[in-house]
Amino acid sequence: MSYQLTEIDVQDIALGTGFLGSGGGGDTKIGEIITKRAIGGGAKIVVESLQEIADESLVIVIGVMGAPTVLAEKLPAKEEGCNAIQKMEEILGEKISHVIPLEIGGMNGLYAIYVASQAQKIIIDGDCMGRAFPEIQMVTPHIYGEIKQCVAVLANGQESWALSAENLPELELQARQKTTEMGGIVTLAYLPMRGKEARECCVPNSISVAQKIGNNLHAKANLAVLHASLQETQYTPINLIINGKIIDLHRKLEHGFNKGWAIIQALTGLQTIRIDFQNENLRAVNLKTGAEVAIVPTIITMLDNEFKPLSCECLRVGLEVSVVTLQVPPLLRTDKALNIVGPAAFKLDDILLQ
Amino acid sequence: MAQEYLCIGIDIGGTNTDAILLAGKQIIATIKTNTTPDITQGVAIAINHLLQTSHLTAGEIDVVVIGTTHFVNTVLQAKGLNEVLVIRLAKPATTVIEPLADWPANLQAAVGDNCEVIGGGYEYNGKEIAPLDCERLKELASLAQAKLIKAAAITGVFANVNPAQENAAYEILNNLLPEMQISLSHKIGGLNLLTRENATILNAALSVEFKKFYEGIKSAIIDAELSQAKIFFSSNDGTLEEPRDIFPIATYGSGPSNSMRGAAALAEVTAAIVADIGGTSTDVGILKNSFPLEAGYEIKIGNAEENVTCNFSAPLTRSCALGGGSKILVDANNEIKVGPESVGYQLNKEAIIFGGKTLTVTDIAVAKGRLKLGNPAFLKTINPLIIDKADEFIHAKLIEMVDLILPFAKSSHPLPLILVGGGAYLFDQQLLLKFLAGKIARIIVPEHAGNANALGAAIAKISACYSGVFQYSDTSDCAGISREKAIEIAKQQAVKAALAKGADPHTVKLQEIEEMPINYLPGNQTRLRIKVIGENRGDK
Repeated sequence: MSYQLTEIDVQDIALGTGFLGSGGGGDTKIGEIITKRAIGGGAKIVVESLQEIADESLVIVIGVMGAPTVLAEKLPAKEEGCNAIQKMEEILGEKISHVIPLEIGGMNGLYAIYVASQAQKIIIDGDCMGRAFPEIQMVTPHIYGEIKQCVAVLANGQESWALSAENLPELELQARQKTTEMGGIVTLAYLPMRGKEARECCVPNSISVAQKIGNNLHAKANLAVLHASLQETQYTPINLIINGKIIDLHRKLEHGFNKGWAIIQALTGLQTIRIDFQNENLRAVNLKTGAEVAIVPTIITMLDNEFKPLSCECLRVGLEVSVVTLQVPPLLRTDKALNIVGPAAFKLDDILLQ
Repeated sequence: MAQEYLCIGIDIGGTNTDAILLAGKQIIATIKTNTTPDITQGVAIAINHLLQTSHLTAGEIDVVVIGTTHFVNTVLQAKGLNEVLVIRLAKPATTVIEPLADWPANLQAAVGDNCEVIGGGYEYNGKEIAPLDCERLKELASLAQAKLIKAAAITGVFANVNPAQENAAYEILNNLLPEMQISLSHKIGGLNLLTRENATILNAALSVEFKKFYEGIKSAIIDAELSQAKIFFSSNDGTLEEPRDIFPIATYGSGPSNSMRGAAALAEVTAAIVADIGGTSTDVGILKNSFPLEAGYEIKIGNAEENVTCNFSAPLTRSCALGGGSKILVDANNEIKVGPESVGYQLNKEAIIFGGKTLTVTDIAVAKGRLKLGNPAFLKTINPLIIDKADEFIHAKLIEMVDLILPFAKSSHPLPLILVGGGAYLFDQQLLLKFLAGKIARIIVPEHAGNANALGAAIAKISACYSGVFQYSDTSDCAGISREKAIEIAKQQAVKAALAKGADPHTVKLQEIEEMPINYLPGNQTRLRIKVIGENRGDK
């Protein structure tokens, strides 16, 4: 069940996590480079499943928090992940044994793996979002678990900063503001939990699922292969919404998020689709009929002409894209889940007011 | 004729230098000659031939456009790259990935181990991450001087939001080392630190070779008394740039871009699969609405295994080492291997049909009677089985390339396949069509197929940019103007500039919008950059 990652696995995970990112979570290339180099430098990265983890292990959630457009420029400092874990251990008065990724989508899956390898922790085959979401309370431990210690550490090259709050939505507000003050992008360590809790409330097997998708696609990337790969997972069905060209794009940094929209005109025919995003692509609207074609938590991912998944910060006017939607696992579609990660949890129309 | 706009397009490849002379849209003369190591001679021969056959004088030529794959070959072979002093202004941020981390060993070795992340860089809001570490910069300058490094690449975090530190670093280096070729990232690419840094380093690594290359062309042009003509380079997106504005890295995708647009003009079609078969390699791409289809948001520079990712756009292509000069090796079991080595410009000495000792792809086409060249009698010594096998391989390879590229065309009906380049005549069209039945509508080998690249350069489009700072009005505050209005104003300015450069007003259209919110200034201010492109009007 537990296995050791190779550089090839990392390449596959990078591609797979790109598809699950819904345009968010940062460019997977960054995670791929640092994790491959860690392995090349002799790091042994062991992935353990949620079934295997001992009940009393101490698990911490790791991810990068902030706007992906900022991340594309201001990469993390080498030591900030370890600093965040160390500070959290000081707060908890106990050594952490395991790391679980905040989100599998985008670069955060591999970033958590990298930080675990640097801090010499075991990485768990799972995550807390099953894709990528913009806010840190949009996690399955919030949906299905009980948050016992609502603390967080934010770290960049200059400092490590501890925060605590009454509940997760409040922690999100505080952390978002502090992230902006710290330059718009930080490493986040939060949600300390026991192994038993992690098993009960986290999304299982995320890393190996991403790896499987990426592995199939590396052989030959096209829609049919992606469809077949996803059928082995819970991310099915997949639908192609449009083959088109980005004809307008508006984005801005607001309250620590990338917010904006892209308008995509079909290559053939008259269809025009608007994609609204807040770090992640959240909604696809048919501009002719006004109908919502897809909405969060459904994954909306844009692919370029080489079939590479694109994160929002990579978009530009004139780029040809295919937009696909992937259904998320049932775990993220229950009424309980939709309260926290469904359309009602977002101020979707605020994105348009700019 | 003297009233017409006269343009010379020159394509300088690794093997051949092609040139074409256009009067308006009409082809007056063409030439294909060997590329010479000094560049000058090949260009001079080409220009003289064009002038002689057209009976024109040098003074009548209006424009000379240079297209080249020279720098593609430089990177592919990792030969001719100069060492680079690589400086990133970012510390303490960004250290998780140092410069060159994702570079293949051969290119890393070529640019050398002279990298450092020093204090500097900006936050997204324009505030300094750290002040520029001038002391360390000066120390690095003297280290570079001691190692005789001739080029530097400087990349600062959020330099596109605030270029002040990169400019300050330039001043310091330039004062200490006036001969140093310095590339600044904010002039080379947009947001995304790693890919902009990669492009900046590659640009710096090509800068010494580029200077030599440009001097070579300049002296050929001066010798031909063409000094009054305007000189342009064709760039990645197929538009013209003046030599003082061009970066070597910006010529990188011009080869396939030129061959595809040249093919479109020659075959008079707007949508097609285009295969450009040269002396050493074949590039296959897609033509759509008369433009080359772009690859994704980033491109890989180098070969399939050893490459560097950069964030500018270039045509989507698939390439293989198959050309007219590709060597065919035969082992003891009569198994054959075609390429990747090529006899290149030595074809007329080394190929069997010219009395040489190397079996090449061109020999096969002659043996099959598709091409009349050299002395076919020399081929009698070659086992006909080998010829059949090689012929089968060559066709299978091209078919494989077309199959690879077809899905990207996303076309509802079969497109024509246009063959261009010196190797366009090597193939049995009926055979290709048989194997591509249902996938390809027909095969076109247009007249002047061998000069498609030069034609593409000659008909390159005009582009113009306008960049300015606008205060957008938002919902709560009525100061400033709406985003739509700002884009309209900027576009009008860009169009005006394009028309002044000779663009046809009916064809000018918006190519790029780039918005950079300037968070360090009060109010909702945005730096807006608009690029428009249009066809060359082709008059005086």
